Amino acid sequence: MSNDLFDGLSLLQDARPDAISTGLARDLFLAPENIIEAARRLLVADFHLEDISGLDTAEAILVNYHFNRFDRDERMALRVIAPHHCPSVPSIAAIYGGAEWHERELSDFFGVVFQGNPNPVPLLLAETGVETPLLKSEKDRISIKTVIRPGRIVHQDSSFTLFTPENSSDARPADTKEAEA
Amino acid sequence: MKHILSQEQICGDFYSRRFEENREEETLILNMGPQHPSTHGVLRVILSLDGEYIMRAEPVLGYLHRMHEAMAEHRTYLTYLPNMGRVDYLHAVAWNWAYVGAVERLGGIEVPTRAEYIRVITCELNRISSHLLWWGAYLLDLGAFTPIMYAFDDRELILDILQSVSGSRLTYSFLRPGGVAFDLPDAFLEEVRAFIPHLRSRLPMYKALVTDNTIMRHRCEQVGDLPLEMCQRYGATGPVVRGSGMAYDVRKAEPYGVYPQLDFQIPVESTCDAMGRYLVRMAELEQSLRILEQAVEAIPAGDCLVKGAPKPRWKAPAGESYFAVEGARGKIGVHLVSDGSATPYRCKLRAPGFSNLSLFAELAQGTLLSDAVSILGSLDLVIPEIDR
Repeated sequence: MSNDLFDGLSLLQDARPDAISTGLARDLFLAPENIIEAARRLLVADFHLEDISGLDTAEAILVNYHFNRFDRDERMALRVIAPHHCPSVPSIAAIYGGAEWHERELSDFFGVVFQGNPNPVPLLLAETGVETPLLKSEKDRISIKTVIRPGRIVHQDSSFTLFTPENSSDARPADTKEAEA
Repeated sequence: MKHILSQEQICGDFYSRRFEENREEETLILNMGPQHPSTHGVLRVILSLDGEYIMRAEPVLGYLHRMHEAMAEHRTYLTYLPNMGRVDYLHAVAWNWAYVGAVERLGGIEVPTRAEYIRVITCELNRISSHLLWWGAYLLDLGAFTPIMYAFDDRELILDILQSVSGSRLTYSFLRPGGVAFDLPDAFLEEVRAFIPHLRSRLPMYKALVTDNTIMRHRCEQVGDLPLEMCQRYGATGPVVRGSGMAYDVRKAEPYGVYPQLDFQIPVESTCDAMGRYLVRMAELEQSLRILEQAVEAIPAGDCLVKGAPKPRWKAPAGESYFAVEGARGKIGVHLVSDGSATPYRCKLRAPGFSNLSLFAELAQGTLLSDAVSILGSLDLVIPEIDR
């Protein structure tokens, strides 16, 4: 892991998914406070921002950042977990200008708040009266584990229990349950 | 600054009033669009002008928003397909391809070689028709009326050819996970063979009539200076990034289909201006013809849909997949998430025009209002794709 792009940054999970079946070369889970530093390093390393998308799951709203390079294909998924009761993630728009619109779109569709977004107003939906259309009802939500196949896990923080086998309903963050109740 | 009108007296909607809050001294606020002829569809840009110069610009989107991503969660994998042709109606085949590619990646579905060639041929024909329409419309923005007549004349031939295989003239949806819906009609390859020299014979005339025209050059050269570093920050792709000196093309960077078997180049210009983007697209017409030329000869006989291809109630295995293709406007990406049912759990559509337009506010700063029209046109905007 020497000379890695994210050296010194505490990653919750670092994995190498099966590129043929997922289209991803690397799959990272980060704590929200680390996304700005990660974006800064990706910019220096010549990565461009492909998109930011949301995914509503039983555990939380997952914010997926896709980055890739112009000179070779190396798609990277960076994922940040935004709990349902307080979906707040720092904005990376100051580093990647293109993130501003993607973040606003996510706020429209999922209600995620991006702290520091320079223009936090609705982008695609009307400015009033529209609810977050891509949030699912609690019974329709599925677990992150069902859809995300991290592949070969290179590193996992001990506090990160999302993909550990014993992680069933009891490992679900208590506060998420409360908020949904 | 001192406003003549108080905040309550300012007319306009939410976005105008918000934009006015940061109004600079001695400036004029102007709404360009949403029904402006040069915004192609319904894009609105709020501008703050000092004389003829743009101090600040803010695109306002959403006038054509249809929530395609939510529709995906209420349809089966196959019944969602017609949506793709309506996201970007000018390069529908590429959107079809990005979506079926994501489904195939998710389900591990093979595609017969003949179907791969049919995809390449139709996708490149569609790319040419998209570039031709852009060419005509861009020049219309710049005040030249004649070129669009020539462009539509040639584009019509492509629409006839594509109609014969797909049944539609614009919103194609004949790709299927595992191949294509119909095999080529008998006359198809001959029509394509006849079309290639026809368009080739027209390109020198296009160059003499338009590309070499002094007035046109003045409207494009050194207008909309877009450094590569900015493309990277905004995720600009397609002819926009290639006009800024980067040979980035998904067909080469992340090869799919039978593109690796075909010989073609990635046109690049390093002037970073509207003219660079213009020249890239014009050169791409020739490259697409080259691809067509090889593909119509190399296409093998065989099935056009794999045996056991997904049926309407097909259930995708649980998981996620990301598939990208090169559209006429840049990288089209589809991110599918499946929970194992017959309906996608989530379908994210990455529209190239969205990222390409997002840099406009920064790019337009300090330019002339009339150049903003040229810049918007040089980005080749298709609003339904941006708004999705």
